[in-house]
Amino acid sequence: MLWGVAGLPPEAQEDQMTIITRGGKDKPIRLGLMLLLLSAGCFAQERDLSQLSIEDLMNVKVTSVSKREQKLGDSAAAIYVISQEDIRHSGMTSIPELLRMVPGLNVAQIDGNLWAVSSRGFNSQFASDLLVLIDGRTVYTPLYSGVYWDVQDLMLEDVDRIEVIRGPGAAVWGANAVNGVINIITKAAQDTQGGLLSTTASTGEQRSAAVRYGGSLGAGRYFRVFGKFLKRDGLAYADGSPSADGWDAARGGFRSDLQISGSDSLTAQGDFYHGNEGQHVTVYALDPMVYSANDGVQVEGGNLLGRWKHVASARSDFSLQAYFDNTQREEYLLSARVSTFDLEFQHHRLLGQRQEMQWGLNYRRVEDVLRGSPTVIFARTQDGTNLFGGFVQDEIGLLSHRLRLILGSKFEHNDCTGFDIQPSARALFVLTSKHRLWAAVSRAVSTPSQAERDSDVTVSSFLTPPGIATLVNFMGNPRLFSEQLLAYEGGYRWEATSRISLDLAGFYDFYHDMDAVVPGSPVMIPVPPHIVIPLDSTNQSHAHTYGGEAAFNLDVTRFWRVSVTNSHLRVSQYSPWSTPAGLGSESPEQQWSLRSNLHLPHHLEADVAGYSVGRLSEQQIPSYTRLDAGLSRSLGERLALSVGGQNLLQGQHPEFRSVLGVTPTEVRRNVFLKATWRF
Amino acid sequence: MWTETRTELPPGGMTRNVFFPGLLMVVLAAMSLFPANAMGQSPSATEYQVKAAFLYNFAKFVEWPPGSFPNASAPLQICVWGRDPFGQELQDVTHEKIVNGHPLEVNHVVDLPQARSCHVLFIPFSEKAQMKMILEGLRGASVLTVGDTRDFAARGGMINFVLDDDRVKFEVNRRAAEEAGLKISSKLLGVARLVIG
Repeated sequence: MLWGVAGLPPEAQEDQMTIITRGGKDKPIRLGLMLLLLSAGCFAQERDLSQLSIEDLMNVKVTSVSKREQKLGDSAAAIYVISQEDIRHSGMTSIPELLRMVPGLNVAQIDGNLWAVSSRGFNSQFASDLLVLIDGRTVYTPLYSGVYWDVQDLMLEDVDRIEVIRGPGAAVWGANAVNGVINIITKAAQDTQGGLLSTTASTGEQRSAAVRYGGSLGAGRYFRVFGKFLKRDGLAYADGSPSADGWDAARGGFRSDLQISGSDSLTAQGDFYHGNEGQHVTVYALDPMVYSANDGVQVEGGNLLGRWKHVASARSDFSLQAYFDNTQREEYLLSARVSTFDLEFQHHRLLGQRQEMQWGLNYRRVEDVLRGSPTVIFARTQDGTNLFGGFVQDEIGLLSHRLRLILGSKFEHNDCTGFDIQPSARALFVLTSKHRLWAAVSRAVSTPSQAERDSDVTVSSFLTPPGIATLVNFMGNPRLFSEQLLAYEGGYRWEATSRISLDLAGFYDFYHDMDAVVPGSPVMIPVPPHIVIPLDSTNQSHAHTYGGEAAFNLDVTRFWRVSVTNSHLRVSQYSPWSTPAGLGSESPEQQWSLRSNLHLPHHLEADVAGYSVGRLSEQQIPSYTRLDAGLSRSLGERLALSVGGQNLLQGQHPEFRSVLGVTPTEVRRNVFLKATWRF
Repeated sequence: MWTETRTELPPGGMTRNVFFPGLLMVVLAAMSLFPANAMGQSPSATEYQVKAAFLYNFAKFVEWPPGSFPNASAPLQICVWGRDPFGQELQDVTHEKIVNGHPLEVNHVVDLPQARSCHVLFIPFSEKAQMKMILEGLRGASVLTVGDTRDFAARGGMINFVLDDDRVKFEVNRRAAEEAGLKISSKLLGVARLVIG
């Protein structure tokens, strides 16, 4: 019967479909399956757009916004772009979850509000080699140089794209862009006009509502405001019992883009959030020696950013950006208030016919106030540091632009480790319009975080015979210097047709002077009598890693796209000592992902994604396969509904363990409903 | 902050929401029962199908200076610089179309001498590194430059596509067009989202 429908003219198909669906309304699930099974070949309408008037053309909704391939092809780095289409199809509801689709990244959930994310190895709760920017604002915390992913949220519908660069980006972005840069870019206010209300409800995980309104203040002057509320239940402990890691959060923000003249534009944006989160922690101390409890975490923060762009001529433009960011986090083990002020200037110009030059200067001031606990003690509870930096990069086109050389370096000075130079040399060779090769050599450094320099953390406690309390303490080291990475990378891109593309990248990374934890001699403390075994922090570890990533895209038909990615990683540590983050730093050797997006008749879309993640042997986390599936349908121009399931294969599974006493919980199967209404 | 002290994890299984499967079925049913056209569905197409149709329309609403065509029935060249994001779409839209007596012809160009012989030149987003070099090099030539890079019009491009709420809109830099001797019809200017100059 369905195939019969496929042969009818479009108008008749609509009628026939209505009849079928009405006939089956007592069995809605079976009906959904039938719709799913309709082949893409019977897609209903093919219209000749050239017959439309300009006004009508402006009202045509575009279904596939894919700048990915175009952008990908011309960069001399391993880059992957998550588009707004990818975000919509993924059914994911947070930024760390979205990153699961990126080859070379490892994303693991520790508990309901804690994620470990890293690029090309060394993943941990305190993973510190990844630089994350939201609209040009750095979001890592100076405490451990990593990211609190729970407070990095946005109205996902307003994200334009997320660009992920694996490998060093330090030559432009500076220290801590050691092994990856994630650039989250929101849409300009003119691209988010009108109202949008998005609500989600799901079986286990969350209920959320987000609303945005975008308006105009006259030609070339646009703004949007948004608010988002979410409440998530806890995940589950290993025995299946509900855990204490539920949370709720409220967030509001705005963005305004003003074209103030033909050559000047201003952007102002900001957002503010507040949240309450739960976690279950185990604490090691003297009395009692071990205890565990539910902890309530309060998070709060806000930021304001302004950017001025000026196009001086067709060959020269510059931008000036300043932001202020304040974050506060109160938990039992450690509370912190961090304020950041950042100023950045960039100039971009063409030199002659072959060269394109960029340079920039930046200054950052970070101030923080810390409050520790019996378990976590900081030598300084107040700190203020200054960072000065500059970069220069030149892109030279040779052999009539078939060979592009990109040479550049970052120069940085910070208060604790002094001066660092982080150069890189890249080359892109356009063999033919279909084949491209690139290669790069870069040096990057990772400056020690405040925790690595200043903290004293009790990580374990036990009784030494004949009954003397013994603590194992990680000891920060203020004399630590920067870790260094020398990275060799290369890649190949093949765009067989506009529908088939392949992107391969490989790397060989040498890490020198990594921060290592070395056991020291036990010390007897008389009052109260106990022994402390110090774990000293020193630059004594070296490692090398190698591996590669592949991403393959295939548009099987115009209505069916399939993407496959694969990541490989091998790590060898030269020294016997592990890194401090590395009490538990580990990434899987193998990861796969497969995503399929099918446009069906009647404005239905079916999405299926599978992710396979290799085991973590030190943490004893078995490999797992995650299956997500979703079905969405637009009902007219304004309303869209979707239903989907995540982690469909297993009731629950663990993904990662925490270093600092946070009880890990397990990710559960989840079915969600989502409605989006535009007004 | 510190709520309760306990040493054991709570017993008991997961709480299950029995209400949910019912709700799920209702929504699935609603999704299939609503006729797609019931709520004034707007037509949809891929981004570059729409942009291709716009290029055809631009050819209709722009007047080239005398001497831009060797003769009255010479082809009107629509060119794409570098990587072609249109695939087959541009060929399809322009197939057997004639504008003011000029049949439309699609060409691919990679250097300035070739580009100078075009009437419409589309510079895709992927070529943004060369954008300024191209715009600079075409100064004085009567070529309608069209792009889809954010600053394209501000940097001297003539028409720039922008996406707005999943729809393709465009901005016009009238001054740049006039300097090249091109006359953009008021109809086109009237529907542009932004007119510079």
